[in-house]
Amino acid sequence: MTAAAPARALAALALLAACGGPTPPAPPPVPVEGPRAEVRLLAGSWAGEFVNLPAGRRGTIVFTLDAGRDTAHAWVVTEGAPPPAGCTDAVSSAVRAPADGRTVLRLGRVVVDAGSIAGWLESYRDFELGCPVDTWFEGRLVRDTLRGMFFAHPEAGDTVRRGTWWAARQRR
Amino acid sequence: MTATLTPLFERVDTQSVTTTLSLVHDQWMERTARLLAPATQPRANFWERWGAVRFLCDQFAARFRLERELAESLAPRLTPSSRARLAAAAAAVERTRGEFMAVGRRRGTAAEVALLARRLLDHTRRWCAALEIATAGTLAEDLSEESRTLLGQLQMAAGLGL
Repeated sequence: MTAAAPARALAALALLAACGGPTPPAPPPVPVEGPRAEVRLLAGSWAGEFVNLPAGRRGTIVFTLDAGRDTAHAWVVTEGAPPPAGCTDAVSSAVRAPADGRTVLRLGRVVVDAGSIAGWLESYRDFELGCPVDTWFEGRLVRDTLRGMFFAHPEAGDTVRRGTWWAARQRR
Repeated sequence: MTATLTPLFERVDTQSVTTTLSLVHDQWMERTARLLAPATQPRANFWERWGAVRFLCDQFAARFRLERELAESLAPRLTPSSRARLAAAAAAVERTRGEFMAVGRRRGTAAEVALLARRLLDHTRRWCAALEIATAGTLAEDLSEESRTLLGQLQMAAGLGL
């Protein structure tokens, strides 16, 4: 991580919104659970990235938690083409949901305890297969940096994809 | 019947939660696999698929709800990582169950239903494993009253062959 990386993440999100890309919709509040003192440690604005090197998938993370609140706002925006309309297998053809091309992923919940942070994303469609994928992440808070791994389990297939993520606090 | 169930309840107090859950889950997975087996055949007829849909709609749904309630009651004891893994596993089970019930009610969907049945079994096994791992090292006597009650209900369901 370089010093310019958080700024780059924020700039990427701003650019996405400003130059014709899909404008990130206002995300619904994300519940943040854990002991009050631990939740307080997450207060502030965070920016970072995630990367899944084998798939070549990258994205930006922006996370904001106001002091004293137990809900946050988060944008997890992936780069690259939107997912295809559906899986290539027969099941997904039968249960296909309309593709809307969104590349903003929604956090379901964030849990903190004893310096650990974890959470999960609402199911989204895999970017290669178009199938639903379930993703959760784990990490640790060290001073003003969150860092960890994420795991994505596509509906089709037994493999769990792994990647890394980080976010640095921009301001409290 | 009472004589059969009493020892099951007694074991709640003396076994580790993981051991209790693994026994309960073995029974549940065996029963679920058996009742979904006709639907896993690519040539299953409509009524075989319909039977599986009814099972998922009633008994499986009730049982999985109990599992999730237990996990929710255990939440204060679980690590953030365990909770995240359980949430992802639960989402997969619920989504696949919904897809199965939607597709299984249609005619001419045997191949799709067969694949969904196998996926649902895989996702359910993953849920079971995630919950058993999450409770490793926990003794039943350390649980809250609510968790103990829910664990007892799961044992009772297993004892009744549900």
